[in-house]
Amino acid sequence: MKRSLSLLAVSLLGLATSSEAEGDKVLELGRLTYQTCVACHGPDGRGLRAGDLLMAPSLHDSPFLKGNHSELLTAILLKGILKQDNKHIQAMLPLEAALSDEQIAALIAYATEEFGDTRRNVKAISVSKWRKKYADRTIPWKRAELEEALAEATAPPFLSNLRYQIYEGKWEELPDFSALSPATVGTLKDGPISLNPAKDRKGAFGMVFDAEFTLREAGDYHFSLTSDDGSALVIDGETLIGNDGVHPARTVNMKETLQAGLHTMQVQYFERGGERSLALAVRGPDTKSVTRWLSTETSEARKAAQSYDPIPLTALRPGEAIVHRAFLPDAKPRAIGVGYPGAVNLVWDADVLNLAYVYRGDFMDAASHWNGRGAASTPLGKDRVKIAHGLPFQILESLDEPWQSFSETKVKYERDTANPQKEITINLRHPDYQFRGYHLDAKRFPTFRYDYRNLAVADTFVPAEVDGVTALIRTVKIEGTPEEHTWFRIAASGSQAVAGDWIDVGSNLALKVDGAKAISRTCEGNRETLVSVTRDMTLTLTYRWNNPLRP
Amino acid sequence: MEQPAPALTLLIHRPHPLRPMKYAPLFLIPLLSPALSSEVPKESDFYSITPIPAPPGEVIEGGGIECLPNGKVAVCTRRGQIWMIENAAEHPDKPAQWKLFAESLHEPLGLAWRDGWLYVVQRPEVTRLRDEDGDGRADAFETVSDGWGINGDYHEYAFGSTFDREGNLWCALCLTGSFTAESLYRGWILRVSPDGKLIPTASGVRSPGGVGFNAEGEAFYTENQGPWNGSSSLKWIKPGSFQGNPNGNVFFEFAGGAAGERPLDPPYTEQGSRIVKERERIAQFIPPAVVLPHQKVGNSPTGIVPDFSQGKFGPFTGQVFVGEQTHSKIHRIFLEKVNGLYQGAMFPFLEGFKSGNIALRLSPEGQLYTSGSDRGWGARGGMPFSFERVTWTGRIPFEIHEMRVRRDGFDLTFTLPVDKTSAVDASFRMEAYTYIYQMAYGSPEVDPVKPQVSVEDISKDGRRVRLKVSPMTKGHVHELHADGLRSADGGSGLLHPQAYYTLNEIPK
Repeated sequence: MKRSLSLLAVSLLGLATSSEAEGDKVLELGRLTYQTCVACHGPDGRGLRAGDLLMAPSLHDSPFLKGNHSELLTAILLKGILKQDNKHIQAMLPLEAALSDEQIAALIAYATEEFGDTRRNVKAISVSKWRKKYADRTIPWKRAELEEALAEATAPPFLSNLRYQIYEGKWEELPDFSALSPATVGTLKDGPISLNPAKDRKGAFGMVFDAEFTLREAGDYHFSLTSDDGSALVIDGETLIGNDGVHPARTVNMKETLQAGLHTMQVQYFERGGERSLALAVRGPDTKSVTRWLSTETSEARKAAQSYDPIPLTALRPGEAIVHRAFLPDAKPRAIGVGYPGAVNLVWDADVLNLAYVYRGDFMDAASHWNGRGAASTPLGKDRVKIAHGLPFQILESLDEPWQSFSETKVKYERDTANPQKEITINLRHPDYQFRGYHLDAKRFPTFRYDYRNLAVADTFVPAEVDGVTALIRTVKIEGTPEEHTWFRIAASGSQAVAGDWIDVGSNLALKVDGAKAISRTCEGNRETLVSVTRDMTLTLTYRWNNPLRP
Repeated sequence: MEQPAPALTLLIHRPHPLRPMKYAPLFLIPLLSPALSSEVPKESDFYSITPIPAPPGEVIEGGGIECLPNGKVAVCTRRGQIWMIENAAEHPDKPAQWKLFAESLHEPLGLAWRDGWLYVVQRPEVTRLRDEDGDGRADAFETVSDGWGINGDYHEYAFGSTFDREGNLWCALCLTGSFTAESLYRGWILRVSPDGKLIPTASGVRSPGGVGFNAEGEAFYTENQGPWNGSSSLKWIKPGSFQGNPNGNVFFEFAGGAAGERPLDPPYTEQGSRIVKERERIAQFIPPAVVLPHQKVGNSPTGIVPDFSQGKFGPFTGQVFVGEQTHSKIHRIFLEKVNGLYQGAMFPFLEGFKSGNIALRLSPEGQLYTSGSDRGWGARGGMPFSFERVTWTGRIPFEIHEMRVRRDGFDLTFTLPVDKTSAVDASFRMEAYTYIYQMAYGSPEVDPVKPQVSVEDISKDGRRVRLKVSPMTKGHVHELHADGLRSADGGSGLLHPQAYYTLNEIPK
């Protein structure tokens, strides 16, 4: 009975609001969402009393609800506020997991209407954008940070006395503008710089902006200048950032110690042709202070920081292989990618001295490796198969002994502490192995060499076609006399079911062994195919996909 | 830009046979037109920077440079290429020819030549390369040593030196990030012996930007401002030393005593301490030889080269040049050993490079090559990468040549005689300061001191001025400004009137 009553109440409420403007649905959602806040801020927003103290401050006095501070309010709702003193009982809890974008937008509308000066409407998509922007922050805000941010937000425009000159010319690098005569001069109102005055120009122009700014405090200021094509930032007559040359949108950051008081700023820019952009931002001395955009444009700057044009790698000459050393996914850090003619590729892992995986199609994109501070390269192509990644040799007294794939050890994690509690696992070169590098043949195909105990090993791959399908033929030449019970592992993936000469290693790949007799075992639930190592042995392993490469 | 006077143009292009320095200025004076000599001298009057353009479409972010016995210059790049450059010394008169020797190595940051092999320090290992089939491209890539750890973090850079007098290659390994060592020997200096043995040599490293030697063959590395480093600096790698950042010391248990006992921990307190104090307590702690005051002179020091050019690169034989990535500069360093520790002065040398200098190499013929990039860390130069050559024009700049410490002051020597009437107390100003030694990132300048400077003596030839300085503060950078000083001929001021002397020790 009770349940149906409340249902009725809700539907009545729904009826009442449906006749009203769309906005009031938002307000209603905001009012419902506000129930999360009532426990501390109170139903009237004046803060619940708990003895001499309030649980939380009165929202009627909040400066964040006066003026348009939707981004700041969102930031507070997402991350909460640290409790740093005893003025109030409670800390503000982070609500990013509890509230949807719509709820946050509605809550801002409700709270500004009820407790602020005037209602502020925010789009859920804006909230979503800010959620992404602050995603990296893992701790609640400190009061001081919020106050500073508020001061920034309510501060007068950063740049004043803003003048510009437009020059005509087609340059490869920034010219000495002071030696040229401008085609147009003008002023902009206090605030951001903008390429708008040149919006009717097709290219082949330069712009110089001159402005002044006043700093309240001395310290390190972080400037960020994005441009397409070249630009430079000059502070107090000294070139702080050069971002010269013809290039796509590209960002250069620089830190400079500046004194409090009045400074001059000049931004030089040229556009040769094609896409254009110019964005400038500054962040104050406190590492947590907010970024202020000093340009009307911001999106290219954000984009330029996030994506790179692909850098596909190919061999220098047709018929040659290409060897690429970089961090690569699914391998340890000492990875070596090899792209062979015939669209077949592999990653050999010099940390474990073994093949990590094979794949087909295009070889490699180095964009993320060769841009920014350098992350892993990206293997392209498809049909990636990891076959027996891990150390290749082992002495097994019995076939019940498990294979140790990786050599690792634990060390204390000493981050500026006298008494480290945490341990981390690190890779350690296995004492039985030593990598000797590789030699390239006339086609630049590498032969990887290493020592395992008293054995010298050479590991070579040659692309081939077997039954009309792409294949890699691997020759493992093992010199020396092995110790008793030495095994080489050739497969640890797939069903390893044998059909004729071929062993199924999964992912549509089959393996053939010549030069030794393969045995299969299941150890601790893992299916493995091994060969017993004998004196001066040469193993030939053929890896063949079961069907041709599809484009 | 005004046109240079014809006399100067002629001078820039003429060969510069080694001349006794004493006579050089006399020889030069008649060549200077009155108009020129009355102008304020600028760096380019003495050292010219010549860009050597990259082959079309190529990205030459130099990480290491080596001068080969066949006269070619080799450069390895952050993109893993190695190029052989012909005519690097003659460009543009004889255009430089670039030939690709190797590609796709893993961010190499060191090149050294020995016995027909090119040794490369790349992120995972020391590799030696050779072209065995004679087609000009390397085909042998032999791993010499890979005994350190990497875990996939970009920050785990490995910088390499040339060979020391025993044939060792020195490798400086960055921490995993700014604060931690999460792979074996991160935050260490290692030596690789001629037979490939890895010798753990020194601990306490944070984020090196280069490793090399002074003229006496002692090893040094450049360290970047950050945790436990109030400022960037040039540090002496005494074997067994601790360089100040404790986060790699966990690896002493792997080093088997090669680098001695694990040092005591520095104070993990909020307020930090001072190096001068902590090195009394931590026996292995070697203080920075020369502090490169953060922001004032640069942000990110890099490659180190001694001047063995015997005067072909100007008057600074025996001194050291250090690259500066953020400010696109090269510094000049004078080093001396006092009470068993290295210390000395940093002087501004040359600015205006096109990108962020990382690699430096000074050829025996007196050509200084530099290359670098602004990738990941911006540089004032503005271009994403560059390869440039610095050539001495043959003119001697009026500079402080050496700044040697005395018990109660400093002896300054000059590249040219000073105008004795300008060598008065009022021409000199000094301030001294140090930095907090702390786990937090960097430090402000602290404990400021205002030493009084007076001129005690001027040598008869005007080449040496003895300054009395009071007080002399152990552990402080003594920043000297000699703006009032004039040269005896022409009367111009010092090209760089500043010097930054790190006073680790006061002579007994």
